Amino acid sequence: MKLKLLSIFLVIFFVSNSSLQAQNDTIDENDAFFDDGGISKKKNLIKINTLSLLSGDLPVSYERGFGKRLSLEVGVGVLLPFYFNEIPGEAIDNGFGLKKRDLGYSLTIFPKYYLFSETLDYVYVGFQYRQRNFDRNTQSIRQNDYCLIYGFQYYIYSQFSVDFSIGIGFRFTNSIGTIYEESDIGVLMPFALKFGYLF
Amino acid sequence: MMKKIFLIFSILLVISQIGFGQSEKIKIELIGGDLQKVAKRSTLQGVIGHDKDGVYALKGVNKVLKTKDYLVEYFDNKMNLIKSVPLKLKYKKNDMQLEFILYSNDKIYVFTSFVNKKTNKNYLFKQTLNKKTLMVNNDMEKISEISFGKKNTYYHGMYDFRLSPDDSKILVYHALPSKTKVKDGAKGKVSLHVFDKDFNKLWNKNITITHPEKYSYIRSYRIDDSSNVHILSKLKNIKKKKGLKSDPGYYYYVLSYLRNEDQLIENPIKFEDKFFKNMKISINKKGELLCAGVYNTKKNVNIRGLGYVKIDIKNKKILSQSFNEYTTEYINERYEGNKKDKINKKIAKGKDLNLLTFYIDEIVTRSDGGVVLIAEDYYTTTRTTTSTDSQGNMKTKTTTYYHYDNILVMSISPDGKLDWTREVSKEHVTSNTRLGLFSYGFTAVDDKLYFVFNDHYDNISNLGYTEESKAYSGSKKCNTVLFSIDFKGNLTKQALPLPYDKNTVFVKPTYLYEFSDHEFILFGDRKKVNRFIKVLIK
Repeated sequence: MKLKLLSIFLVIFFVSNSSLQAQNDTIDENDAFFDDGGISKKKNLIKINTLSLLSGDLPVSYERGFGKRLSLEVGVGVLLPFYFNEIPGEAIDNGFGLKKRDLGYSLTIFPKYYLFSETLDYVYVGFQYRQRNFDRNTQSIRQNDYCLIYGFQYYIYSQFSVDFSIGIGFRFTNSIGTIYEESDIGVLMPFALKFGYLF
Repeated sequence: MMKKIFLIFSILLVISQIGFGQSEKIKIELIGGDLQKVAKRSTLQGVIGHDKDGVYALKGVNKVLKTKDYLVEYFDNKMNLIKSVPLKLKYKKNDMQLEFILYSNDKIYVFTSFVNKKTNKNYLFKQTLNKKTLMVNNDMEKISEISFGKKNTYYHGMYDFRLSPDDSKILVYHALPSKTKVKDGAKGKVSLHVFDKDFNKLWNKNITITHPEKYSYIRSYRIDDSSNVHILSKLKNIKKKKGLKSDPGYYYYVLSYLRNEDQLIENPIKFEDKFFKNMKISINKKGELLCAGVYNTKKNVNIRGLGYVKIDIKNKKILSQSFNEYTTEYINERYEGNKKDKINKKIAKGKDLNLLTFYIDEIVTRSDGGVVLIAEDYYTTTRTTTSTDSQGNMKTKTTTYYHYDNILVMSISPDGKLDWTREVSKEHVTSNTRLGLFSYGFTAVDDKLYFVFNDHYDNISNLGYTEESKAYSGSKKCNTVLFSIDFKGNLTKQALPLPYDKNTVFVKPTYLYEFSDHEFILFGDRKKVNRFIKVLIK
């Protein structure tokens, strides 16, 4: 699984860098106005989500712009042994206090559409699929989240981004273990604060 | 197939002309171009300009999940498409944004911008367009820049332009973006660039607005023939008396930059007993400021009318004024019996009924120094409906309807006396303004004013508003109407002989383009076809 994920990252990285366009050889006086250090052509962002630490998830994601308005964000994260239940479903059912589990991992696929500006800038909407796998009390738990997300990406000093998003969706939880098997559906309202670097 | 359609169209035109020739109505001739097959998401952005051989137009093609593409098109005098070329908006692989295109002294200028996030500047470039190839020439030149600051990553400012009434001067302007949080006393700035008709630079100037940016909102810019620039702004009245319903809480003022004197003059359009709710400005040939809008009296918020003020800018002196109360006529025309009584009682109580919702669209200067004001009744309503589906679930839906109703025309003499008022009757209701079939197009040909709009085809015999009048809501039951008013206020109404069958197009009246002293052009589309139609007034 980890090998597959790594290969996906490598392919995306390779494609993104190979498509960087070469500059035209001729130079005239207007060139200076278009010299932005290549920022307008940079289509790759690497990000860390800080708010998800509350739910015990430390993901690193990579976002790649396609065309003028579309982008795809993929992420992989480490699920930490201490976490708070997410709101509203789990927090209502099991309380909001600090919980324990074994280490796990999360995977995210998140296509986005930027509404008002060019790709990787300003307001976007998207559909996020996230999978979390971890063990708790001898049970193997898999959570599949399907959420509609509305977000806002902002830049500080050209290349450093701040991405805040909120959303609503459903979480499908499957718990498999030696004692019992259980399936559950709950409502999820994810919010994220990501810090990124454009390259 | 295309030729057949055009043939049918031509035959219909000839038949119609025979009919009109026998009546006393305006003699017209229509020249309809071939039906042009286009992409479904293609829309006319506007007519760029024309020369003796034909017309240049800009079309936009909306792409799914992508930004808009543009096409520059050239049509001959018979309104047939000669050439269609995609507009290149790139400089050495850098994407640029189209700001506007303008036609001046027989040349086409394309204005594009590029946001440089390294320098935090939004640059404006000018390029000429080759009229034969319809491609941009390699003569790009930077003419302005907006510095939007490090923190303002989304709002990069916006450029626009205005032509002087005689087309001899071109104003390119932009408001300089303020900081994210506007401080109480901070004043806004605008940047003005003035060129002659061949785009030679005449002057540049950054102007500081005289009132704090927090309370002052720029509404429009004008440039006169002497290259003076006039900025209409709305100022929030922070000293508004509480409880006075008739006071909208703002007033208008015009800031004029007089180039020769290098002087900034402010003229507030403010009266003790009247409040302007909206306003439009114009400058006449003498350089006098003409202001017009809908006002209400201080006594009663429902007593409204169209007001007009002529101002000597330098001396800040009102040369003439005209306030014409229109509420009574409006009520008499629309309401009868008990309903009229009820409305009059409510007016007496001072309850705001929002009766007169006209907005001035044009201030036409008369050759004798008087003006003709043209306004349209525009307002929105909402309707909430509740329904129950088969499973018993209640659903509530709220729809906003946009109303483009009657056109009001007022002729005012040079000394401010009301010569006549006429109301052109129409009723448009839609929840989808994107159709572009509503409102009206206007032009002045010879000594007459012409209005073109779509109307329900049952209304053609009604010159004024009647109980039987039907609203047009974009349905196929459509007539495109030509309404004219002469300098004495005489009205005529007739349907344009356009065939509204499955093979033709619906006219979008707001795209009306004045072609010559006696000709104008209309644009119509329908699904994947469109067509230009030239109207000749004989």
